[in-house]
Amino acid sequence: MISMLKITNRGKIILITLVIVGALSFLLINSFQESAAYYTTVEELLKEEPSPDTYLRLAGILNPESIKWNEENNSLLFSLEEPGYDIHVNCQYNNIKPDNFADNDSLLLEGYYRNNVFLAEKIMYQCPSRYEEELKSN
Amino acid sequence: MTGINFGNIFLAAGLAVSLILFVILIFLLFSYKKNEGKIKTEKVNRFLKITGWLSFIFTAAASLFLVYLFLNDVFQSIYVYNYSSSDLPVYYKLSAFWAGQSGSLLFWQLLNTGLFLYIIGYCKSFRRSDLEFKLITGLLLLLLKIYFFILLIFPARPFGFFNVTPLEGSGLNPMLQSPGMIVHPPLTFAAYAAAAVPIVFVLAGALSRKDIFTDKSLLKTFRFWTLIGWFTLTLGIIIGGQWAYYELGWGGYWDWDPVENASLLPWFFMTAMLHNIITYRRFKILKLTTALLAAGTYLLVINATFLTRSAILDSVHAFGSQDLGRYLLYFLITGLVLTSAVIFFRRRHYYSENRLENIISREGLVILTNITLVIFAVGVGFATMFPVISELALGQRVSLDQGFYNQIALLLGGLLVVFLGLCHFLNWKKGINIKKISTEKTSLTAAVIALFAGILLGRLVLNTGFLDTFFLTIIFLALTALLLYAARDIKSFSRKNAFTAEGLRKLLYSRKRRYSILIIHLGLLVLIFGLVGYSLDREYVFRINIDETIEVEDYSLGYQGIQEKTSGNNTYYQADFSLKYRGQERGVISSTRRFHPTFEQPYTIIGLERRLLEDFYLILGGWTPGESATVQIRLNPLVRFVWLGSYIIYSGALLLLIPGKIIAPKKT
Repeated sequence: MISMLKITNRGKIILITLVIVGALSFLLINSFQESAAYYTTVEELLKEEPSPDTYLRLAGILNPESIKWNEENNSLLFSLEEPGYDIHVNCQYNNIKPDNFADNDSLLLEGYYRNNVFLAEKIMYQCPSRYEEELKSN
Repeated sequence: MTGINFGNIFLAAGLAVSLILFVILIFLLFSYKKNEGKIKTEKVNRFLKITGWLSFIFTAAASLFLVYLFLNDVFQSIYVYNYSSSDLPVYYKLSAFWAGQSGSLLFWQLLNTGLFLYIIGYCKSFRRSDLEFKLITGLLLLLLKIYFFILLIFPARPFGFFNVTPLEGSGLNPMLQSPGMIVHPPLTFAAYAAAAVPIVFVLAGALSRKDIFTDKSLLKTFRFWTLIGWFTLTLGIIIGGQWAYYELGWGGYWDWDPVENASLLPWFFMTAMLHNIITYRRFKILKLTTALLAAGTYLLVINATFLTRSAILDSVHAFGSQDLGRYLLYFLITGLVLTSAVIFFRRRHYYSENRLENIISREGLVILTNITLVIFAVGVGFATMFPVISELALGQRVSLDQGFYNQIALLLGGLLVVFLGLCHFLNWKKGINIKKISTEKTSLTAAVIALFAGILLGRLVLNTGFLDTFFLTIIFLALTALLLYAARDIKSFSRKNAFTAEGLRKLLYSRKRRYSILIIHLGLLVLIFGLVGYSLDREYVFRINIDETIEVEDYSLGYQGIQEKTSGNNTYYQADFSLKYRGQERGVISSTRRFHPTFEQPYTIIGLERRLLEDFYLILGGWTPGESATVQIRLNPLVRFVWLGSYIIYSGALLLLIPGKIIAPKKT
């Protein structure tokens, strides 16, 4: 007869916790590559030229004069710059222009860098409440 | 400024007075310990009441001053300039109070001082408790208030003024001009304020060696404020999501944005705490766990504030300020160290009277639920902080996307759904009992029906894959268990007039707690059902010419043209479209772009056509007058159920909170 392992209640709870944490860790480690977005700036992007399959998070300053709407394929074109450098990255966003877009100079994009164009899948920016910092210094 | 800066005066006075009272309280505490309790209770009660009133009065006065500045368009005030304009309706001028960093902190402090005044001055169970406990609670609450006064006077200054007076304010961001944004911040801050009660009771209890759990009326107070915190936080989070969906107009309601995640973490802990209190009352176990959760909740609240107000994580919500961030980080670290020390050194004080007897029981399930909720919080917290962790550890900043969070939510949410169903089968104390919910034959039939319904919905109606269908099926199974349990309970209560108004009233009155909880669990299952639809949404961008119709899956959209309208200072461009679903007319759907003179950004109002199983969501992009328009279309399945589920949760929570007397059946 196989005797039942005498695990205390506390032992059972710890065991179950380990199983859940283990299952979760397994799932997450497997999905890590697909979900990770590597942070980079305009300067770093142009210097390092990451592979076209790396999902990136690009930070840069929007050049408001570069904003164009491409009617052919419904995409928004613009360029991001790096403060203090005379460089830029051309970006493309296949979606309509978000409301706050031109107003925010500091942008964060998520997407891929392919054929010298950053294909943005998401656009993020800081809330205009950063006003406070600027005005306080007046 | 031509007048006197009353705001800063009141805040400074509040701080000064609180510091003096703090010293006096410490003195009182020491003299109490030396004289072995020869201080009159009445004196202490009166003194504590005074400390409550003073900090409240000064905060209220400062708040009233800010309201005065808003209502009188005093644009020389930097805060009023940033968030108001003379043409803003009164109710938005008032809600602008919490539109920005410093004002929202002032509002939170107002809630703090008001709530703490009630607790130490008027809460019966508190006033009747041990003297040392009261003194230490008073001290801790005073410490919190002092900290907030310091925040308001140094890094976050609501009462700064320009040297010159601008003629007009910059106006309130149109996105904040909505009912959702009027209530979302106050609700969230109410939750944050309420969260202070459990941790302070736990710490004061440990320090004064008063067992807050065995004092029945004090435990009731503990539970009540935890419940209020939980309820207002649930409301705050969901209304925030609704605002994002209807007003922000990007098509979704939850983004796993760091600020959103930060407010979710204390919610997990509060939910766990509520379950623990129920379990303690029955079995006298889980005291230490509850104490740790209480402390964790408030630390997570401070953490949420820190993440929102420092600039360490990229977020669309963050109002970054390095100064304030530093203050909050110190508070967080100090709080973490001190709380851990107190609970560790006095841990014996929190050892429970009993131990868990059987893991296969309702209380065993509560423990499993706690574990799942805590792992959920840790997982989401870790993923949220990952950019900072990876930067510190590897020098490369890496952030984690939706997919990562969805995995966590799928596994742990799935477990929670299973537990929600399982709890009906389990007895308190021991064992599984299918007969608790129904006869074996009924249960089996219902389970099979639920199984088929899930597969049908997933594969045929929503056209989704194995995982989602599986998830839907377990939701249906859990729902079935809940409904069968409720049906059996209702039948057992009153065989004759169970479903009449009077019968229901009697039922809800006699079994108010049970049914409140059932309703909340039901709402939660419906909400989770709606959440499954989130990963099934589709997005399209089209350019349509005038009088042209495009086909989008089962919908037809025809562009009719743009109308220009003016209202007040605003100019609106409304794009109208005719919509058909599977050939059936659904009327006209419009999306509007609004332009406001002072606020440079345009603001897009979305068009929405709601069906039970899916929302047709329309966002106007650009247009060429007389020719074409570009639109973004999003199809969102099951969204209606998210909101429906939340309303059911609110009903259940309200039922739980209201005193039984209100629904007492009439005596014939």
